[in-house]
Amino acid sequence: MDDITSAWKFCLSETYGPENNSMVVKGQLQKLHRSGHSRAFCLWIIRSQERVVVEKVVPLLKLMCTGNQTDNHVLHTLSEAHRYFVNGRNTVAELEKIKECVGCTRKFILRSMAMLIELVPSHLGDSVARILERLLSEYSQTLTGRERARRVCNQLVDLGFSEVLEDAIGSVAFDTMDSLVQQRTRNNYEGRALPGLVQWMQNFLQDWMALILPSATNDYDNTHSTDATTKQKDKDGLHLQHWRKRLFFRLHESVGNIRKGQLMILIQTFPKSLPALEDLKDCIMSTDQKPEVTSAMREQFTQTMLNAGTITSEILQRYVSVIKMLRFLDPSGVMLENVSGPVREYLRRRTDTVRCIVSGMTGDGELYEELQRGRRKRARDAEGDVHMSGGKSLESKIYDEEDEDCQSIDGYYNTSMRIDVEDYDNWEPEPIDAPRKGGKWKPGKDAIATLVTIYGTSEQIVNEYKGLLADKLINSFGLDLDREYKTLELLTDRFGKEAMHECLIMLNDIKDSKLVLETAQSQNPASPLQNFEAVVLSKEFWPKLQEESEFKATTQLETQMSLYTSSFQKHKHPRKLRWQHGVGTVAVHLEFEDGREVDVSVTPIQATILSHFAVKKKQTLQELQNHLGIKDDAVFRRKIQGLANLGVIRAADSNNSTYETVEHAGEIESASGGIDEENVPANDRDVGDEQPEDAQMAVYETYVMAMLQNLKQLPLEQIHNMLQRFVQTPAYDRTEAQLAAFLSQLIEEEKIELSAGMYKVKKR
Amino acid sequence: MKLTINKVRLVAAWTWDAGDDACGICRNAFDGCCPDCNIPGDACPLVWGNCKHPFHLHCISKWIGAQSSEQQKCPMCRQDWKFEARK
Ligand SMILES: [Zn+2]
Ligand SMILES: [Zn+2]
Ligand SMILES: [Zn+2]
Repeated sequence: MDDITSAWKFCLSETYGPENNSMVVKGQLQKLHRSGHSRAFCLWIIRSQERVVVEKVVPLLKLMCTGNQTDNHVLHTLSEAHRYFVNGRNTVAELEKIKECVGCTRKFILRSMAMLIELVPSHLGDSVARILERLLSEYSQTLTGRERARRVCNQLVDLGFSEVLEDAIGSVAFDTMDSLVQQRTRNNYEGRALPGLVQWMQNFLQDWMALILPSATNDYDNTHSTDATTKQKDKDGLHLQHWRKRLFFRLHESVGNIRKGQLMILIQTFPKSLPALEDLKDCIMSTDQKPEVTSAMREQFTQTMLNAGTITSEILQRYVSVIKMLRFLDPSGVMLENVSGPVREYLRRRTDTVRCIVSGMTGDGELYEELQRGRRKRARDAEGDVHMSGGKSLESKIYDEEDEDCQSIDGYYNTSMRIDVEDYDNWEPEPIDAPRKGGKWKPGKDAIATLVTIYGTSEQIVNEYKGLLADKLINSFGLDLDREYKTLELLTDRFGKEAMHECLIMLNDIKDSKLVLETAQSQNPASPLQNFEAVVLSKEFWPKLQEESEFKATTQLETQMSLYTSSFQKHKHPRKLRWQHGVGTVAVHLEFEDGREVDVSVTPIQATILSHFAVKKKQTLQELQNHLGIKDDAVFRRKIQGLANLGVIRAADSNNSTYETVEHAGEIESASGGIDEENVPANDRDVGDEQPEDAQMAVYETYVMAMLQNLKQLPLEQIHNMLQRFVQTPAYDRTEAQLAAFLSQLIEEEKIELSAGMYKVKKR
Repeated sequence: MKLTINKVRLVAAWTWDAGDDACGICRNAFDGCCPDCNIPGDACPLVWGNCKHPFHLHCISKWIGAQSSEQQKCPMCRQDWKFEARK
């Protein structure tokens, strides 16, 4: 009896806690058992351990959440809480030996965990995440970091916080990955970021997770048969794989998001930005970001490029980059089609678009290379004898062309750099958003084919080229004819023989004209034809030229024309020549009394006028007109005005009936200032008050026209402001008054009109 | 002011000088070419009959080739067709 009393006394007085170890319990237990008090004693032990949980473990875990402790302190607190809990669990486990108490451990654990979850604040997870994050960075360097992380996790699992722990691990993994992604992709466009990140994720992050992730299910819900253990392993494997997939997706999503925000830079630095695009391509393939990237591209391009301040050639240049980029990102062509809509629409509204496309294709830029690429490709196909020849329409030729860019890019970064992903990651559905024209979706249009679709057909582009070519052939000295033939050949490949036939005749005309000239020159080495070139047109095949009346040319030209004519008629009898006075170019060198030397190119009529001024420096218009034998006053005045604009002659009286050479350049300002502008009749303004400066102002015409075309109508001040903001080369430095003068010139040229203070494009 | 002409590039158009009308057989311009050709000039020349009517050589050749020898007439004036010798 004494024993029993003292045992109870012992139990009631003893402080519970880790000190209350199982050896003591065991001793007291035997006494009580012998006396039949065992069940009451067991219940008392369990209660007391539950009180330990509430009074010791809970406050410690709460302390952990306060956030103002050092790492070591937090780790220590957690260990302490864990120790109390495990001790209690072990104490209770001793009771399992007593028949009446079997199963009490499981009950104890479940009850305690429920209490902990209820009583511990939910932001325990945040503290855990903080600690894990720091241990993760330690993890890379030391084994202790690894051990500590593992211990923290095991302790939390023991305490029943598996779910909290898993969430914390997930958020640490994501956050760490996101910040590494930022670090590696920001300001890095010319190198790939993704492969390195994938490697980091696989070799480091996933490894770390595998080490510390809690089991998929709670240990205490299972009995530990071998069968259950295998099942458990399978479950954990799946669990880990699930996390791998989440990480993989997240990584591609965040790289994709950042690259998506960099699209304009990628466009502007293309093709240097190809590595960044390679990243983006992988991301699009691994996530569902294709629509997002498409609309980001469309929005960014529209906002940055499609405005009045951007000149057409620049828009086109960037658009060509976009085309190439999108062909690379998405060989199906769906993205390109979806981005192109507004760009096409916009470019179609600008009047100088065709001209810019054509000069791009015939110049030295990217489009010319694109033409050549198309040719090389076709040459290879012909060799391989895989493609049928002839019979094919232009459309199908262009559509059938494969994406060469993609192939070369893929070849450049060899396949070993590519990510090894599970099959499901590679699977890609058919493009459901593909516009379907006449059945089958044809992917892979190249830049030129895409530009052609701005107009639907190639007709406008071909016509523009024809006009441009005619202009060049007529007006350029020392033309590189071989280059022109080559360009034509490339365009013929592209647009077909028939469409380009007239251009071929035009080039042949130039070649024939040269042959005739060379024969004439070779017969007489001192021939006056040495500085002479002639273009003899097959006029049915050329654009209509401006007709102009006969005139009496200066002796030198007269001699040259007749020599050439006789040579031609000798070789080409019975064909005859008719000289076209409205066109042609004469390069003259002028020397003035003040020592000024001026080289200008003028029309044959103007050269003749100048030759008369060289004889007599002041002449009435009437006199001059008689010399040249030109009847039409208006035509003649235009020619005179052109020369005045060059600053070589000027009106010498107030009604513009006499002109004189500008022998001293300094005089020009005061002379024109002397003209009373009020007295100049309105329809005659272009004669008197234009200054040579206007020629320089003309470079802004494109900008002004583009603005007015796009913004419909603008007041003077706004045009002025926009020019100041947008025009850099050459920088716009005019006053508003100068701009106003220039605009009124454009009004006279019937290019624009002014009403109610607003300028707009004149409709024809 | 002193003037020197450095370079001259003038433009002319050639013509068969057959008037502004089109060929009476094919209706194409004389200075263009007949429907069977696509390169104008020496490759598709003009010829005149003694009646002074000009045609593309290829057009009139086809035309008279289709007639029996007694019936080779100018399609414009129905006179007997004879090639005119031109210098
Ligand atoms: Zn004919
Ligand atoms: Zn012919
Ligand atoms: Zn006849």
